[in-house]
Amino acid sequence: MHVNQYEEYNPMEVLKMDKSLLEDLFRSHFAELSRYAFTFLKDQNGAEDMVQQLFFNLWNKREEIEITANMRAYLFRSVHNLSLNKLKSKNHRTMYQSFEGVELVENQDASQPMLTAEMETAIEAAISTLPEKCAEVFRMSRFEHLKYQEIADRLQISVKTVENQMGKALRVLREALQDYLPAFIILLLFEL
Amino acid sequence: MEEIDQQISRYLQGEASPEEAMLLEDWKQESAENRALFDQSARMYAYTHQSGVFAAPDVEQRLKKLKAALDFPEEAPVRHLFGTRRMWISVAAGIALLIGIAGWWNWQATRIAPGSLTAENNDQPVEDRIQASGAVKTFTLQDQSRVELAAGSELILDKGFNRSNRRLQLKGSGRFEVVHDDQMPFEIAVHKLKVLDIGTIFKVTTLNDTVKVVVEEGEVLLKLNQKSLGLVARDSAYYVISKDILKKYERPAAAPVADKVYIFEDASLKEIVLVLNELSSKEIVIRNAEIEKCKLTVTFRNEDFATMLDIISQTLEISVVQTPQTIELYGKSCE
Repeated sequence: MHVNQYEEYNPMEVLKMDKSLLEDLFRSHFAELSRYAFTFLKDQNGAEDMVQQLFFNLWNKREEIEITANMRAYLFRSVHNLSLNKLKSKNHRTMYQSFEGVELVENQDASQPMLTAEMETAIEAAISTLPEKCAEVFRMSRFEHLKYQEIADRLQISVKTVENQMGKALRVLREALQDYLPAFIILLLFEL
Repeated sequence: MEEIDQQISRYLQGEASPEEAMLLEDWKQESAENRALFDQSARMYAYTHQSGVFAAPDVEQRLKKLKAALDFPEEAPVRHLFGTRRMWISVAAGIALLIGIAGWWNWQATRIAPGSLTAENNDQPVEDRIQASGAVKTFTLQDQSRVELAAGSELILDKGFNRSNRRLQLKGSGRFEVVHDDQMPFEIAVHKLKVLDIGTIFKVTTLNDTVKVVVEEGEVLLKLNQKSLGLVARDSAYYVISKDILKKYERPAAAPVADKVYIFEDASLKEIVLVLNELSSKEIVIRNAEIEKCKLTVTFRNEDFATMLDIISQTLEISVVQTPQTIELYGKSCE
């Protein structure tokens, strides 16, 4: 549910007067904003904490912030910028640690489940059905965690091409692996 | 279909812009099939990339934490009126009394006075309290005005509605198509705010502490204490109940009709700066020659200048320094 009736208001003017609007905005947008943050941070708790902090700051700075666009757009833009900043500072920290000679331990997220051999075989079999270029792009994303721009640079193709290939891969693999997805969900549940 | 897969893929990869993310969320809400497709794609992505799956957050729990951090006062505890035997007995007695009174009243209303030829009550039963519980309720009042009452709302007609007056009380929200009548103006009370219609289609929306009135056609007059505010078609105003504030919403200047789109395909920073200088009130200067050749592929659609600069600096990892006359770009070589 979106707080559509407020999109025609000057949102900051109303927010200055009505704290229940903050609660309504929170209920309407917290889940989708956290989900968006998660796509950057890959950490559910971290994503939720960041969005909660965003609303905290929004309320405390309501007299100072000037929002001319619609409130939902402002919130999404803020999550985008905050997430990128967080990733950047994480990268800098990692670089700093390597310069200091601290042994870097590969960041293995404890929540990532280990795949069975059967699942791995199924994934590889599915990827092998992709056209060659498509498979290559997908493997770079999967194994090297490269961004679209990085993949484009490496393969000397445009980002748009990378997008097309990834979209194709998503479609093919979604169909090829649908029988395995329930098992993966069970695996995730047991890992919790 | 191809395009939605690309959009989903971008989103899951963490490459979606805020606008793309919002569009995708809207697309998901369009149907259960869309949501299922997205969920399946997200699971597939998590599966193949060995990343976690995003679980639905506990929004209320998070809101509670936020309110505690902001020191919002606790809501007044709900007094549970029911629960004691004595209370139940009192309620039962009260109901019995009401039934008795209602029965007597009905008898009074329907009896035929000795000597009269007609019943005293109207032929047509008059509903003076209309509620829309679980869904929107659409109906026509005795004066032929049409009402769409939002779920959870209530409309109370004043005694003598459509005979001596056309006054109503609204609790909640509704949309009204009012038949014009100079002799009996249509008047809605929402808390202390009065909405006087002069032959109009308008909407009243109540959300917690704020009431919004939007006029679709015609005119209304809003009255609050000594203040009056006239609204015409496409005008809107809001009333903050606890603060007794009534304000007309000033419509922002019309947005440009055409999209402003800038497409940069493998463009160098130098080329991009040439274009942005047309939009900027200050001159953009690249201070490190080695970053002139940094390449970028991006599409800007209706982004403001500051946002475009933001995206460029983040993507190319360059610093932006503003001086009174210039915007200066610094950074290391991209090679």
